[in-house]
Amino acid sequence: MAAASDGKTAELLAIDGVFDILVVDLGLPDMDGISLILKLRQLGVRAPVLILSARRSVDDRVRGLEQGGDDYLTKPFALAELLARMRNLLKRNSPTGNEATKLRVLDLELDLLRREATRSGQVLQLTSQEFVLLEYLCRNAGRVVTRSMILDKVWGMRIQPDTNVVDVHIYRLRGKVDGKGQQPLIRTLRGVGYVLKDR
Amino acid sequence: MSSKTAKPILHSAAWRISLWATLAFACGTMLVFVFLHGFVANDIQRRSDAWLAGEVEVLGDVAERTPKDALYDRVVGEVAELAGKEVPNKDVSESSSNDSVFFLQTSGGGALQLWVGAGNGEANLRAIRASRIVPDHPTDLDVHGFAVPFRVASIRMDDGSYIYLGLSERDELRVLRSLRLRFVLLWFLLVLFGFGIVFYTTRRMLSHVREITEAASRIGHSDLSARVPTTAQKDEVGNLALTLNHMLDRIENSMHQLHTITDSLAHDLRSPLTAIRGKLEMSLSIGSHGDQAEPIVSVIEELDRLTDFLNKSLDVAEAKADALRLTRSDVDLDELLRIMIDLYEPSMSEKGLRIRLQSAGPLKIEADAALIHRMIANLFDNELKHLPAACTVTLRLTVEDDSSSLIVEDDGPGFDPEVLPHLFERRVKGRESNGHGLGLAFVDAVARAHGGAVAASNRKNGGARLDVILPLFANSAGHVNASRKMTTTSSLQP
Repeated sequence: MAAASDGKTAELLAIDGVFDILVVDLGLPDMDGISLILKLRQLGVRAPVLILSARRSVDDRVRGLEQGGDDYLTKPFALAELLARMRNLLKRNSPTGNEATKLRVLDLELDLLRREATRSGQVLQLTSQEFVLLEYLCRNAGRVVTRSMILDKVWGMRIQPDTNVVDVHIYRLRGKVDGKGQQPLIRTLRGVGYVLKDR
Repeated sequence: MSSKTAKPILHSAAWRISLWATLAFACGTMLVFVFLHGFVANDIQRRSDAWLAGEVEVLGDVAERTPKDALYDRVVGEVAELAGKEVPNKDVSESSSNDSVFFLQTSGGGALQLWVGAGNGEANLRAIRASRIVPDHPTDLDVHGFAVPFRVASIRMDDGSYIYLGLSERDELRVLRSLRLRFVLLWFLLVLFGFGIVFYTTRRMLSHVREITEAASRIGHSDLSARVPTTAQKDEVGNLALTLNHMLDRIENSMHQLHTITDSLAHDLRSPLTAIRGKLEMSLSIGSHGDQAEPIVSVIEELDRLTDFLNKSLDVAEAKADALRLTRSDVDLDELLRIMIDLYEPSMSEKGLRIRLQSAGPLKIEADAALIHRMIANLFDNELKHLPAACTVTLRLTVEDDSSSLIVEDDGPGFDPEVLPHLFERRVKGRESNGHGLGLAFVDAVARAHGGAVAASNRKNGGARLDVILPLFANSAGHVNASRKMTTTSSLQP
């Protein structure tokens, strides 16, 4: 890992070393972040880029990059979200084999083909939306996911509701997944987000 | 096709202008002709009068000097016939010219004494007797059997008899008629030609104006860099284009400044906020749980609220200045509402609220997806925060002409009548509200940025109603702005 405080240094570092991922702030002291990324791409740097932006409206060029496989995050963000997005980018860029048809976290099992979830062998009565939410939590088991990540990945929107809409979905899901006498799987990290325990 | 293009032409200013101009031109030329016609007619009459006066005098002289014997009739008759051959304005081609002139002498008692002309002169004599002809003053005389009146001059002889010389006005009238005919033909061509020229020039000039209007309307919210076309001429239209472009320069400039300010404000505030939040999260995860965790968590939540407030107020500020930047793509409102209902339904049923959607299926609009998402979320948040338990929210999605309409109705207490007129202003909120009063201002801002409108009212049988109108296409923006004022004030009474 290396950190550069301006565009010129970043350029030199990126060409010299082999990095798995680049995190670029758009507001660099000496140049525009997008220009840096485009320059690095021209120079043959293939590593995925996570763009950090303090701008409110998302630039078209950023959207272009997003379609090209990179991702962006607007400030301020939760550290957990930054880590999750970096993991996603790395996973996307690493060649993986066949997509598993089953996800297993402790005694929770999700059959992705039959869209069915079981806990300790008992089938959970989930709505399709709850299944998608649980699937997302399972894929990120052991890691923190924030509310805005859930909104983005499960509902496909980057919004910041004033109300606790996501929390209610989690409470409901928790009511179905964590039955009486069972070990609670879905943990709330106040001020941060949620975590599906994998240990 | 022709009916499609004919209507705009008939309604165009060029058509009206050329119509009026041609009317004025036609009236003017007609007036000039009437004057000229009168002048020519007078002149012809004056000339034939002069001829008549001269001839009648010569005849009188001849009659005076010729002895009253058997030869008298022949001598005077031949002189009169000779005079008839020298008629002014005479059309040579006219074969029966002998009826255009007559000579008549009456005795002092009024009996016919000598007649030279067509027919036996009885009708002429009767006409002369019926009218009082003063010697030396030629007058018009209508004779029975002749379509055209005669101009008659007379002289009184010393022996008390009268000599009358009549000249048909036939030739005079024919000259005038052909003059009129030629003029009307010429006048018609002239008017047609004049109309063509006026119409062509005004249309050309006004087409510049239309180009400017079209170009100006294309310069939308997102693209201020375009300019209206300018002409080389320094006339009124050229000046209009130049002035518009100068104005656009100034608007673009101030818009750019606004963006710079909001962007740098956002950047300067967000970067430290991110740093603070990161450090708080770190200290939370390091593990000093227990007493310290609770305040840190609430600080993080406060920070998130602050960020949200910052975002919304900057967006609202930009939108109020019509400067919100849009990245348009196809957004299916029906699908979006279903997802939103899916997202909000658990929270609503937790509070005892029901939500219904009435929609006729997919409805795509060209809009900024991120802004529309946040706008709809704001509408839902608003209902969720303000409605008491056991209420129903009804969403109705319809399409009218080229705009979509989303009506959000509930059967709750409705808007506070005092707040209603100012509902979309910043920091306006109901007494019970604990928000920062930006929610509906933001909804209004987004709708305006898309060229749409939002109207709030209270339903007759209780409950609040919000009408959100969004144009279907980016270029049809602006049409719905007019309806805005109307609906905001329509039903203020609770």
